[in-house]
Amino acid sequence: MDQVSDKKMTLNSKGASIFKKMLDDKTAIQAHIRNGGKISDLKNKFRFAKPVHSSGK
Amino acid sequence: MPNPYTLQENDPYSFEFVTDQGIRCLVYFLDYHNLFAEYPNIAKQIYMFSLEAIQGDPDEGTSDERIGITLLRIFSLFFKERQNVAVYVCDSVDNRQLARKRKFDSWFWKYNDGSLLKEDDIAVIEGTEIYNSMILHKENEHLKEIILAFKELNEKANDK
Repeated sequence: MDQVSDKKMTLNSKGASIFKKMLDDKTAIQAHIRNGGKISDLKNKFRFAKPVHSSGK
Repeated sequence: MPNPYTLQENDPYSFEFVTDQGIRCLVYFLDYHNLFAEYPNIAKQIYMFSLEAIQGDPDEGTSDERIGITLLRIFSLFFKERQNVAVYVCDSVDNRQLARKRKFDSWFWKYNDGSLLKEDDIAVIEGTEIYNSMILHKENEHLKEIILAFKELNEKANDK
């Protein structure tokens, strides 16, 4: 599982590694929550963001 | 049109909703601001979006249009900030990625109010097709550049 880091995902590394990372992130989070884990358990491993709130604010 | 499901914010990282069939769904975003690192002029508000079923299988039973309506509700909130960009990949673990893509596409085209654009592509990585899409608002200041960068990203992913 990839840890949070600021390593550059440049286009030279390229598209393939970016999409692979997305899929790996998604798969790891999915496995965690389907095993009863909470998203908050992973807050230090992934860059979760909440760019939207249900109140619309 | 039916109402979207009520969104619960149980933590600072995700949303949850429960469908009429009792399926618990989780929605979250990951910050992927460096997706287009080689395009400094493109805004940095890039997020990977994901919908997961925590309990129950949404592929079983009857189709639930309210899930699609709820997703588009989330997008309508997300794109209040016009420069936001959402990217998602279809889970390929069980080889049902094409079915998931078709379901998402049908919801998107049915419930999009016309303000959003979606670009679709396929990256073939280690023999696996990764269906990926990007959604952005038509009023995004860097619309054309972002779409070009997204297409280039997919082209490079498929380079041997």
